[in-house]
Amino acid sequence: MLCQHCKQQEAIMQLFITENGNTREVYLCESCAKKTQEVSFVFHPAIVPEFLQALFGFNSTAKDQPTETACPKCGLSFSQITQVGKLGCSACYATFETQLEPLLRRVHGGGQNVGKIPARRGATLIKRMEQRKLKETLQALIQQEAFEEAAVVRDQIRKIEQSAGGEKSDS
Amino acid sequence: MIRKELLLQHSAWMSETDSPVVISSRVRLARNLEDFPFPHGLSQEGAAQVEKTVAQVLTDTEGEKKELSYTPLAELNSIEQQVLIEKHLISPSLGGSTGARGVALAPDHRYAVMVNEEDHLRIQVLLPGNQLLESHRLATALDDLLEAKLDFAYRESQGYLTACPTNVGTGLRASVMVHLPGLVITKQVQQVLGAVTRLGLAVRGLYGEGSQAFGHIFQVSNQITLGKSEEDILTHLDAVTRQIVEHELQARELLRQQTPIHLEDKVWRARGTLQNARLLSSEDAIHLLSHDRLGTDMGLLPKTKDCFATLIVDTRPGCLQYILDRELDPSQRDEERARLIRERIA
Repeated sequence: MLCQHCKQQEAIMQLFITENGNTREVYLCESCAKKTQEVSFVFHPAIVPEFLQALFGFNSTAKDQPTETACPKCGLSFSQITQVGKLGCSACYATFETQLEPLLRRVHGGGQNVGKIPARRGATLIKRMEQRKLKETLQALIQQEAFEEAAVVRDQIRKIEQSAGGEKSDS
Repeated sequence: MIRKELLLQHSAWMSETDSPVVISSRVRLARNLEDFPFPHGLSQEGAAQVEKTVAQVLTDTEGEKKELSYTPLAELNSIEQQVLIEKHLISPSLGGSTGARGVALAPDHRYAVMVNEEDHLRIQVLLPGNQLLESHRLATALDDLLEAKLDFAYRESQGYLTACPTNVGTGLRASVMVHLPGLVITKQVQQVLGAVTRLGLAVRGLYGEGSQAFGHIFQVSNQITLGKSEEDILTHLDAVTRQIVEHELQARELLRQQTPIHLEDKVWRARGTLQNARLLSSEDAIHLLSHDRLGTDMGLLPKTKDCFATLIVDTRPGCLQYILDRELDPSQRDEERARLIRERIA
């Protein structure tokens, strides 16, 4: 399908544009979509890969650089990832963290993971999170001068520190 | 369970519920094995190794009464793959690809785990009506069982790592399938669904492209997977779904009050055609079944023998041929579709 704006390039995105309370649907090419501000969009099932390529492309500066870092695990460079619209392996997330950051912000609106932590592999992390939460509670209790409750929380923190996985034992 | 029996099994999500608008709920969790590249970068041997490892763990959940059985897609012919797609148990891209890939199904299709789709695992739970929270509870429980034996790719800051960055974080895509004839007939659907897309949710017509949604069936799902907890994602989608239901019921009431005879005519015409037509295209069938369902929901028509979702799925080209056990050209399909509906709607 041709872009409904320039009628020259192939459309890669389906956008829902809301103006004065009315929503209309348009299919746009990459360059026309770049010019469109503040649109709410949904993926068109058939054009998702192209859409992602465009999203990567929006932020990619890596492809202009003469030498590129390759992922040590799968060997892909960031420009190769940009072409495919998918990362090569789990290590790509750490390798290309800086390049991915604006993309993730664009897609998800920024913010760190606050979802589920795997029970077995994330056991240490779960303990650390628990400990952080308890420390916040402890501070609040001290400020409220609720010293008896604070002592109970302090003991709970110590208990976690003594077991493997607490922040103290991590360092 | 033999394959034909398993594939023809009535899928749990297709059951009739009290919900007049929400047909079904679906939760999908994307997971990958830490030690392998994502599926699109796997060699043939690598893909086979992932498939073997995952299939073994999936079918080893017998103690938990999940009774998942794994089927490699390579063992299925194109009609069998089509059946799985039409029942929403696998994605069209899993069906269309080659190599070591497959699906683990529960006998009632409540669980459908895709292996080597875009991610190594796509854990799916599909239930009838608005059961987002229950779907998520079941998916998470299965995820826990699998995680006990498999090393999933995970980072503290980015959560579960996925091939496509649109799924990273929770790896959770939750969706509801909603039937909105009232909003379409009263021409409010663009307005309501346009508002939904501004709330970080995606909407698409389930049959047909763009705004041409046959059967007035739409799928609403979350877009954001990172920076929000599973609970937040589900609560938000659930709250918006309830709003959509409310608007749809108001639109139906408006039709009943303002144009009662037109409404009655529309639903009775649909019933009459479905009971008597000798040829029905796929699009005709979905359109008429949608009006028929509106009529039964509003108490204007007696209930049909088979429910809406079952009739829609069973009259799709793949399912129809599989049920009748023979290949049919499009005109033969139209004839058999009309016959099947006449028998099942009485």
